Parts: sequence; C-alpha cells; structure tokens
Amino acid sequence: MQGFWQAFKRNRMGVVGLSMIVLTIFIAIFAPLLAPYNPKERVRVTLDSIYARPSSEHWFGTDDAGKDVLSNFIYGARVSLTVGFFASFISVVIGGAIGLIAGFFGGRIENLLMRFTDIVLVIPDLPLAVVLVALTKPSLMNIIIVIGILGWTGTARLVRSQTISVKERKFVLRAKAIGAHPLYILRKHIFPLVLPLMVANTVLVISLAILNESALAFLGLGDPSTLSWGQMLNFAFTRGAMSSGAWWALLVPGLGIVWLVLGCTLLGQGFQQILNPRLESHHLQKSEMIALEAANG
Amino acid sequence: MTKLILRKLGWALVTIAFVLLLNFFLFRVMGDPTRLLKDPRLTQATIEAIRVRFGLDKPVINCFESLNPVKVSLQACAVNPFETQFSAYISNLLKGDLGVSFHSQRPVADLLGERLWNTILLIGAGQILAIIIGVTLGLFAAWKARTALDYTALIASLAAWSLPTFWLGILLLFWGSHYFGLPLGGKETIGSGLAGWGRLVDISKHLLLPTLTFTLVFIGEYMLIMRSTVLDVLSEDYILTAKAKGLTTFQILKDHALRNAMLPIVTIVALNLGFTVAGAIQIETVFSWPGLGLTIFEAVGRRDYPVLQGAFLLLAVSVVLANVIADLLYTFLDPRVRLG
Amino acid sequence: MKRLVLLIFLSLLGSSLAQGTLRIGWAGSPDTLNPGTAVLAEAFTLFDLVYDSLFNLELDGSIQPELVESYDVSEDGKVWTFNIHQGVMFHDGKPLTAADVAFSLDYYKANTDFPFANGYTSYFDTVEAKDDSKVVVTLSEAIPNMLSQLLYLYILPEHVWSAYPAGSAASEFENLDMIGSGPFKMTEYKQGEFVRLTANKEHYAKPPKIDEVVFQTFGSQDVLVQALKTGQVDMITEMPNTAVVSLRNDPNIELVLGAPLAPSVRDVFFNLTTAETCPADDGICSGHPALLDLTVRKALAHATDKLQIIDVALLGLGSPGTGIIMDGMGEWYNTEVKDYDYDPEAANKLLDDAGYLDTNNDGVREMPDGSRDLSFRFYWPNDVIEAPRVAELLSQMWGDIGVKLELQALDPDALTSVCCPSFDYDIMMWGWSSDPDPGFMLSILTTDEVTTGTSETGYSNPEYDELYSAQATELDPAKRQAIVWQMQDIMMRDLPYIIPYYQQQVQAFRTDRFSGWRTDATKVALEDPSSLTQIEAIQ
Repeated sequence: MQGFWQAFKRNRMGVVGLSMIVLTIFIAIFAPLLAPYNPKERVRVTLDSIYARPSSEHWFGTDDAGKDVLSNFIYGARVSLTVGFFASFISVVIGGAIGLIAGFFGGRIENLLMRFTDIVLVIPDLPLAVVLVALTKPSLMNIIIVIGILGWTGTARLVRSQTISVKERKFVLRAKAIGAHPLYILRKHIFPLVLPLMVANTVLVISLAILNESALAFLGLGDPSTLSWGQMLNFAFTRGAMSSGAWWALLVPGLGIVWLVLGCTLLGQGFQQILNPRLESHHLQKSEMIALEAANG
Repeated sequence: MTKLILRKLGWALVTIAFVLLLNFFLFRVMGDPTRLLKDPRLTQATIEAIRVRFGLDKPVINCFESLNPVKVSLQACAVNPFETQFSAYISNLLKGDLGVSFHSQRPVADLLGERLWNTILLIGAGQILAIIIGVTLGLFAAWKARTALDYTALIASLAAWSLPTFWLGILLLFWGSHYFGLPLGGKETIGSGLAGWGRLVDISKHLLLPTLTFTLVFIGEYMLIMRSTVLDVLSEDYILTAKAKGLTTFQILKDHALRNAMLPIVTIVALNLGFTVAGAIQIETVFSWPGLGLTIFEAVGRRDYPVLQGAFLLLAVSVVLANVIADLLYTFLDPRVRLG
Repeated sequence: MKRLVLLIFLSLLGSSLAQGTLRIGWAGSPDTLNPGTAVLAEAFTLFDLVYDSLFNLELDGSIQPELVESYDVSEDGKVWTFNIHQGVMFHDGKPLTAADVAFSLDYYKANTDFPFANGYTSYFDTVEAKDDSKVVVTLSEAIPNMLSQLLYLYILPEHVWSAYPAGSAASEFENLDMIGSGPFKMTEYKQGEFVRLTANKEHYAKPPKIDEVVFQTFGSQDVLVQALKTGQVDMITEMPNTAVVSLRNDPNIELVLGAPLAPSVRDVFFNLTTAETCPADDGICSGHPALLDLTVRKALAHATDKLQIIDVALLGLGSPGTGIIMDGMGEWYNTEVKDYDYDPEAANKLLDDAGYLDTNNDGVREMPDGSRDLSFRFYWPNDVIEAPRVAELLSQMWGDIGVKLELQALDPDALTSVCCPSFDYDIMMWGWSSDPDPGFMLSILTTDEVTTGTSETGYSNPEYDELYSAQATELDPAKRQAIVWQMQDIMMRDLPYIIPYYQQQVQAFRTDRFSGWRTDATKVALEDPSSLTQIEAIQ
C-alpha cells in the first residue's frame, strides 16, 4: 500500500485527477459555508435580477429565477457526486462479477451470462432510462438505480474479454495444469490482472453516470426538487439563457460537469498506469531511445 | 467456419427474440395499454381499430388478463395461445406492422422509415471521423508514450470525452450560427429547389455542427482504447523478437500493434452503438435533426407508445446485428480466442 | 483536399433566398393535417391559412363573415340562412358551392369521433343546400353562440372528402394534399420538420402579396430566438420571456406583446371529490381531506403572491388571474370580481382559528384532529416551460403558512390518468385554451362533467349547474353576460381554482425582409391570415 502511494504521488495525472475530485467533494460537503446564498431561500425578485450579469454581489451572475448561480452550482455538486458514486457502484459490482465469472468459467455459464449481457446491452441505455425514469417518477433515488442497473454491461464485457485473454497466459495455464482450484486461480491469478481494468473502468462508469444524469435532466427528466448541475442546464436551455446572452447560466454548470468527469477520468488513467506498470513503457520506445543514444554517442 | 458463423447468427436470433419479448412486456408491465385508450387524442374509431389490431380485448398472454396490475384468471388460461395480445404483437411484427402513432395517427413503420436514414447519415459521418482521428491519435500517443505529444493528446482526449454531449452541442450551435451563419436546425434548406452538388453542399452545411459534436465526444474514447492497447501490445515479448529480426518501427506498428489493437476497437465500436444512440438523441434534439433520436425524444414527451416501442425495436435489432458482425470480426482478428 | 476546402467555403456562403418566401420558426408542429382529428394549435394555424370557414375570428376578438356574404336568422333563433360568396374556387380549380358547405357541416356532425369539430355541431338538426349559394341550418334549440360554433368548421371539398365516409375512413385520412379554398395552398409537408405553403393569388377576398410561407420546426424556443437573430427565419410564433430584453435591443427585430388569439389560462386546482361525488367507475378520489375545507383553500389563496409569480416565472408578461373565464374573452370576463389579497398573516390566522396547528413543531401544520400533516401532492405538466418555477414559488409561499407541497412534474398523459375522472391527486396545475365563447369553460365546473373527465376538480354545486343551463340558452347577450359574471363570482367564492395568471403572447419578427405585419390589434397572432395576406417583401 505504501508502495502504491509512493507510486501514486509520482503520477501527475492521477494526482491532478484526485485533487479535482477531492476539491469537488470538499465543495459539496461545505456547501452551506461556501455558498454566498441559500438556493432554497425565497428572495424578492425583480425583473432586473433575472439573468443578471456577473457582479461583485453575484460572481457568476443569476439564473432565470433571479437566484445566485454560484450558490446553485455549489449545492449542485452534492447531487452530481451522489448520483455518480452510487450509480457506478451498482454498475461495477454487477458488471465485474458477471464479467469475471463468465470469462473464467466459460462454457454454458459464460454463454448464459453473456447472452443476458448482450440483451441488456442492445437496449439503448438512454431511451430506456428515459422511459423508466418517466414511469417510476423522477426522484433522485430512481435516477441512481436506473443509471446503475443500465450501466454495467460495458464493464461486464470488458472484464470478460480481459479475463479470457489473461486465462490464456502461460502461468495461468500452468496453475491449471498442476490442478489448482478454479476459485483460487480466479482470486490469485486472474483477479489481480483484471483489477486494473476494472479500476480504470470504474472511473469511466462514474463519469458516465454523471453524464447520463445530466442528459436525463436536459431531456426534462431530472428530479425537479433537487438542484443538480444537469437540472441547472435544463432550466438555462428551456428558459432562453443563450439567446438572452446569459452564457454564465449555461457555462458554469456545464464546466462543473466537465471538471468532475475529467477528474474521474484522469484518476482512472493514473490508476491504470500504476497498477499496470507494463503500460509505462514499451520495447519500441526503448529501442528508439537506444537508437537515439547510439546516434548521439 | 461456416458452422461457427451459423452458430453466431443463431445466437443473434435468440437475442432478437429476447428483445422482442422484453419490448413487449416492458410496455405491458411498466405501462398500461388500456389506460392509453383513454387518450383524448384518439377517436372512437381509432380506439376500436387499435383494440382489434393489438388484441387489447384479449388476455396479454395465456393465464394473464393483464400485467399492470397483474390479473390472473383460469378463463384466460383456456384461451387459444394464438388469440392473445402477445400473438397479435408477433403477427403484426411479422407483417411489418408496428402500429399507428397516437400523435399523428400514421403507421409507425412509415414514420421510422422516413427518419432512419438521417440518423444513419449522422451517426456514420460522426463515427467514421471519430474512429479515424481517434485511432491515429491513439497510435501516435502510444508510440510516443510519455512525451509531450502523448500527454497533450491524452489530456485533449480526456477533456473531449468529459463533455456532456448536449451541452457541447448547444455551445457549438450558438457559436456556429453566430459567427459562421451555420443553420440552426433541420436537414436541408426548405424549398431551396437545390439539386445535385448544390443540395449536397446544403446538406453538408446542416450536417457540419452535429457531426462535429459527435466526433468530438467520441474521439477521446477511441484514442484512449487505442493507446492503452497499443502500449499493451508493444510491451509483449514478441515485439522484442520482431525488433531483433530487424523490422522497422513502422512495420512493427503496422503488423503487430495495429492489428492487435483493432480487436478492442471493433469491440468498442459495437459496444458504443448503444452509447451512440444516446448521443444521437441529445444531438438530434439540440440540432432539430430529423432522425430516430429526435423521434424517440418526441415520442417520450408525447407518450406516443407505439412509436417508442417501434423505435426501441429497430435500434435494438440494429445493435444486435452490429454485435454479430463485431463478434465475427473479433474471431478473425484474434487467433488466440478459442473458436466457439 | 482542394475540393474539401471548396466545399467548406461554399458551405459558409448563405444560400440565395427567394425574396417572396417568408420563413416562420416555431417549436411545435401539427399533429395531423386532418381538420377533423387535429388537436394541436399548430394544425389549426395551418387550417386557417389553407381553408376558409363561414366566419372568422378577428384579432380584435370580433366574429366577422368569411365565406358568408350575408346571413339571416329566424324569429325563434332556430333557422339560420347563409348566403355563400359566389366564384370561390378550391385549390384544384373546382368551384366551392353551397353543396360543399352543407356537405362539410354534415360531415363534421356525422363524425362523432372528431374531438372538437363534432362538438360544434351538437345543436345542428339539419343542414340543407337550397341552391348554389344558399345554406340553411336548422337548430334543435336556439343557442346564443351560433357564430362561434362556425369558426373552426372548415369548408372541405365534397369531391375529395366524399370518398372517406364517416367512421374510421374519415379519421384515418391523412389529407396530405389539403385541398382547401384559403389564401395559401399546401405544397410540401414533412411531419415534424416543416410545412411549405404557396400563395393562392386567386383568392376571392384576400390574395397574399408574398409568394410562399415556410414553417420550420426547431428543437427549442432558445434556438428559435437565435434563428431570428441570425436571420435564418423572419418571424417566430413563440419565445421564452427571458429573451425579451435582448431582442428589444436588436435594431432589426420588432417584438409584439399582447393577448393570445385563443384566450388561455394557467390554473391551480384542488381535488374536491367526496364519497358522494366520486365517479363510480373510474374514481379513486384520494384527495387530502383538508382541501375540502373552504377555509384552507382561502388561506392558500391569501398566501399566493400572484405578482411575484408573474415577475419570476413570466418576467412580468402576464396579468393576475381571477377565474377560468379568461381576460381575453372580452365582455364575458368579469372585471369586477374581487380576488383575495396577498396576505400571509390573514392566511395564518384563518388556519390557526380553524384549528390547523403545528403541534409537533416540524414547520408543517396538522389537521385539527392531529391525524395528518397539511402536506399536499402537487403535480404539473412537464411540457410547460415556466411550470417548475411556479411550482417552486408556490411551495415557498405556502411553506410560509405551514403548508407543505410534494412537487412532481408529470407528462400530460400521466397527468390525465391521475387527474380525471380518477381524481387521484391533491393539487394540480394545468391550463386551458378556449374558443371565444365561454360556454365550454363554464361547463368544466358542472356536476355533469365530474364523471366524463372534463371536470378537473369534482366540484359540484346545484346553484352553479342551474346558472350554467340558464346561460346556455339565454339569447339576450346582456342577460347572458350577467349570468356568466355571476358564475365567476361563485368560482371566486368557492375557490375550486386558484388562477395564478393569464399569460401574454410574445412574438417577434425581423423588420428587414417583410413589412405590413398586423401589430395594432388587441390580440397577437402574426401567423394569422390577417398578417400573412397583408405583408410585403421589402425591396
């Protein structure tokens, strides 16, 4: 673990990604302290305070209801983080388990599981999510569950194909030949080699969940009583932010999503580089360096 | 080999059958078809026609009067299995009858047919561009791993991947229309009377921004997958052997890295189809592009179940077929995968 | 590569545009071109352009003859004789005669499936073409609003429609060629994308000066505004109120604000069904018991700051509502009805006195017997742009007097299923658009409609029902007006509805391509024939 942390500290991408996420979490936790206004508080609105330009009073301007965009943004981090983490947790647990079991055991089990995966996979996620959320009422809980149970197929397929290719490696075949218990092989040999991909994938799934939540909100299926970044974008888009020149109402929550998704992605890349150091360098590169040295020398 | 292909196609058929079942039951369990008949948009004649067409006066399937709420009866068990809502659904499908839109009272198959090609055009253009650019970038990034080029390409790809599709679309839409006078919606200029080359230019003009959005959103993923796979391949021992044999860098990249990396790319393209559909819904909504995505968005908003159901089916079947093709390619590309 | 550069270069040049082509942007599209089955306003916009009817609703709210040259009504008000304009031609070159008029009215009457058109013919007993120009309609009962029944009964060519007899053939007919006699002809139509109409320069009364009109559907109102700003369309029929400020500053764009052509209302209503009034077949009637208490509804009315709602949700472009008879209905609108003042203290006092107290100090009042919180389900349609903001404001305002709302947006279909006649809700926000006669809007609160799904509230009051029957057959306009006003007083007294606002219509057009728009009328409808047959291209 210590070694991992040492390696992680040297990984610039991972550190940057982690910092981005930690900062977002920090903002979310301390939202009541950081936000200049309380978004739930009722304010006396005048026409001038709707889509007001950024000023010292409202750093990021106001939205279509005359509310402070910065405060909405800070509170919105809570919703987007909640959706991202919980939904991806559901996805990766389901997908990872199915992928590992299918890839390792092969045969009828694999067929059954992968057919099942294929079926879920072929149903286009977003339209199905739209229907399910619409029918089950768009509460935050339902949105998380729907995104979670629709988002595991990619993980399952990737984990399974990685498992298959790892399974064919010499040392696994050797372990099999000497009669090691399948579960032992799965745990000791396969899982560690598949884990990096799963970790890298988890982070991608978090970003996907956040992106999906914002897409649902954009399509008018966000939870109307919670203020996510996607919901802010929905209000801005439907209530004419762009054409009235209120770019801040559209830009700020959008950049928030990009920031968080990018943070997750960078962290995923960082993990991948550390957990799978083989990817750090390769033979061609070395040869080039040698060639370069030879040329210089 | 023929046997293998037949087997894969057989599985595809099974999958399609599952999709049909799910498509049928999802809309019976989650939605209540008899409730739909109270829709104020429907006339008595249409309701009667729908009743007959979908067998709505019959049990959903043997033993089940309805599924929402679940109603079981002995009487329903006794019916002829070819006289249920399910059998009506299947026989209508076989006839190519996807029902009639509640909103426009037109056949769903016609509505979807009109818009299918627009989506294929949009997705095709966007995906091909994204794959070409993504794969090239990924190859170079892996080759030049840990150089400034690698990092720049990597960060750019990751950032592009992180953009919410609809948000990027909105920004591009306003930017492109404001500074370049690009069209804000539609497939071509209405009543322009253009033909041939002029019409092609006109359509390209309308296609430019949606395609750009598609490409930007998808480049990142292809680049990342390409990069990590090529890195993986290049660290294999046989690359060392190849190098020892005196092959040039270009040959090694071409013969080993690219060939092996095509494997996950093919998988990803197939996997991405569902994701692509999600992109299409958002992009078509933002750009008023008259494709299947916009149709789904409109159908959901209007609760036009027959259209929604038909669109689902069409997309799901296309994705199954694409997956079969990917699966076969996969088999050809990777000799290590045990056949079958 | 050169080719590609050329292509991009070419693509950046605007394509040349025919001078006489007007491009209109809207966010919707017609549901069907069949005048019998159409429901959406966009379809009726097209019908007004492509068809003629016997009478027309003018922008000042008056009803004027269109195809009718002169008309006469018998002493008892039952026999109406219409003399039709001679020499009117359908777009396919065949003449429009009294036979077509009689056929059309009969056709609408025979098609009991047609949702609106059939309703307008319900008092028609017989329709007869006496000769080429004379049509006689005999009513089963004299009605005060005969002319407004004829506004949307478009005259169809018998030689086309006789091939589609009443029943499913009539409702399934797509009518893509849309042969009418109006000032514009259908040229090209792509559902959900665009409609192209060409001018009927031979029109007998108002031949258009422009050559062509294109209606293009855009994905959102925000995009519509951008299309107008960048000159991709010449006029937009709708826009978000938030865009008003930025459009005002654009020298090439003129804004038009005013009452919509069809009077409309946003309504908040309560589930008032009781065990006795609950519809036997469909009724679930799960309304909160507190809402049956007029005191609670009065308190909610006192706690509603309508001006604040109009400021935030509509950016001021609306007026406070009083009842479901809209201010756009002219003399039918009761201008003297007294609304409840915004007075949260009075509201609190009403609830305190009636025993609705917050005994457990959670910020929400309970029923006098302590059984339930004053916590209400509040639903609204997800296709109304400003609705979430209104809901949020109401939730805050009513929260101030210790009433809690559970907010939930539903699509219109889901809303219908919980609304009526199942009455499975507490409070709901929805809306109506109406023709200029108050008859239909008044019927919504009658006891007869509780089981049909038209009554949203389940309100039942014999006094109101009697007045409704009285006004339906009162031929003296002044007497009818008095009854209609009295009914609005009852609405305000009994509060089945709280009406937050009547919204203004906001439209805009570019001043650099066409001139001659009708902007001086009390109602705003730039897509109406009154504008489209008047405007001229600017040279």
